[in-house]
Amino acid sequence: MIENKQELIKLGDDFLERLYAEPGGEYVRLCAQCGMCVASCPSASRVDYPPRKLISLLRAGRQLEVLTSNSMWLCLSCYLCSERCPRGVVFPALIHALQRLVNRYDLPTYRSTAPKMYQEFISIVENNGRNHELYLLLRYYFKTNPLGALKFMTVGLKMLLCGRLVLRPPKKIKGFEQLKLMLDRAKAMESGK
Amino acid sequence: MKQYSYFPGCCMEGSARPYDTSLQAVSKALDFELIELENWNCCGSTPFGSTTQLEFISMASRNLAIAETKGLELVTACSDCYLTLNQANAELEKYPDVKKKIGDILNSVGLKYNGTVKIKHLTQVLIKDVGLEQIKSRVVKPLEGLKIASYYGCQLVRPIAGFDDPEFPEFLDRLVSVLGGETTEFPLKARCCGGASMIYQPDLALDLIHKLLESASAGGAQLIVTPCPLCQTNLDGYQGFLNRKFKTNYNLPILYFTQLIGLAIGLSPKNLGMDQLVLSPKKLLNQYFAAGPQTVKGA
Repeated sequence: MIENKQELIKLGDDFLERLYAEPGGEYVRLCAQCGMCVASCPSASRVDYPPRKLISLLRAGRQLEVLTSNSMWLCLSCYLCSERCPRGVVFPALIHALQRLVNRYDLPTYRSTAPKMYQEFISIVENNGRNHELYLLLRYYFKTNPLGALKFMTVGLKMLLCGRLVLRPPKKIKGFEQLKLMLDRAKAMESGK
Repeated sequence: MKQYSYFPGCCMEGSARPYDTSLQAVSKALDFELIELENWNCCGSTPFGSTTQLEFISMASRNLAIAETKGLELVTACSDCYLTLNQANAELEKYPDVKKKIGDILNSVGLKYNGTVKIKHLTQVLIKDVGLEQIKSRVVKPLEGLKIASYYGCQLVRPIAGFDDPEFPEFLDRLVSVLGGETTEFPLKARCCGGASMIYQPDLALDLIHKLLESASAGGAQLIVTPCPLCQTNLDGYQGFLNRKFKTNYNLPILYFTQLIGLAIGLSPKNLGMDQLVLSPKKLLNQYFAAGPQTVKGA
């Protein structure tokens, strides 16, 4: 994993304290390192660090490795680990807390294209009030892997023929301005933190 | 007639259209009314979880504030919307400072939310409020002889505890029995389908749905029924792709649970959006597609 000095400085020595203060971050303290989460995780074989190890690395001060790993983006929020965790760790909530820190410190996310999908989703919703599946797919594939989209062409075509992909462009919901004002205000309040 | 506020969620306008069509038809037939929440916005879903807590909860709160003025329970049929809206309620209660800030944000646009909206999933409405007995009494075309695997997905049964076992739920199996169908062994019935990772990590999601199809087939299922729009899309839309990739030949139609109810209570397949399924169940359910006698034997 990369060890970028500048980014480490950005995170600071008090990283763990700030993580604990973030809703969801408090779970790092609770973990007993039993590994039940790893046995339950559908992504365990594909992530750089499965849940138990991820928490262990955070405690050991190796946060940059964690924050730039693909583990940040492959939690599927299936909640099987949290269901079984004897200590009550809600791992998906911890992942959300970490994702917020990645965004706040503008850390690299090259290990997964999930953040790109998230960005496109958020942008469509912030501009219309609702998601638009076809636009999301087109924008995501265009930005990540335009040729890769060809592989899934038949799936898309079938969905289109079944009337389950909408061609008409996204339309702003009524009351969109209200939502926009709310989100702007929420952003302003968070940055004032 | 019992009334509910209805939160469709974005997928109901696209990939889950047949779900919306069938739930509308079933609600009419079973005498409850779903009143669409006016000008609803996206619930926030997983991507907004990565923004900030205030933005994430703002998304859900606008919907909840509008719903509160109606004084009705808020019903959604999307597992992710169900989870996200409930999560907003839970976080507002858990973090008082967040509640105050969200209150200020809502107030600045003339809205107010006291935290009183009860969010229900459509399965709860049908199985608990309408009730299995009532549904049973309305069955005119029992799903006799049909072997059906009930697939729950994850976000409906976890983490909001409530109405069934989080790993081995049974409410859908009970529904299938009431409708006259035969339930099958399906040990992976509450495991993840990969969700939206089908877009950004398709190798992972394809592996997961491969396991699901394997498990359901091993139990002898002829079709799978699910209450989750995302699970349905992954299993239905990508099954052909998966067959080519893994050289398998699964052919399991994936029905929304509302479609299954609709068929059994005698609604026409057309009114249930059955023609919008990628894997047509026509052959398996040919008796339902042909206009025929009131009682039908399954395949």
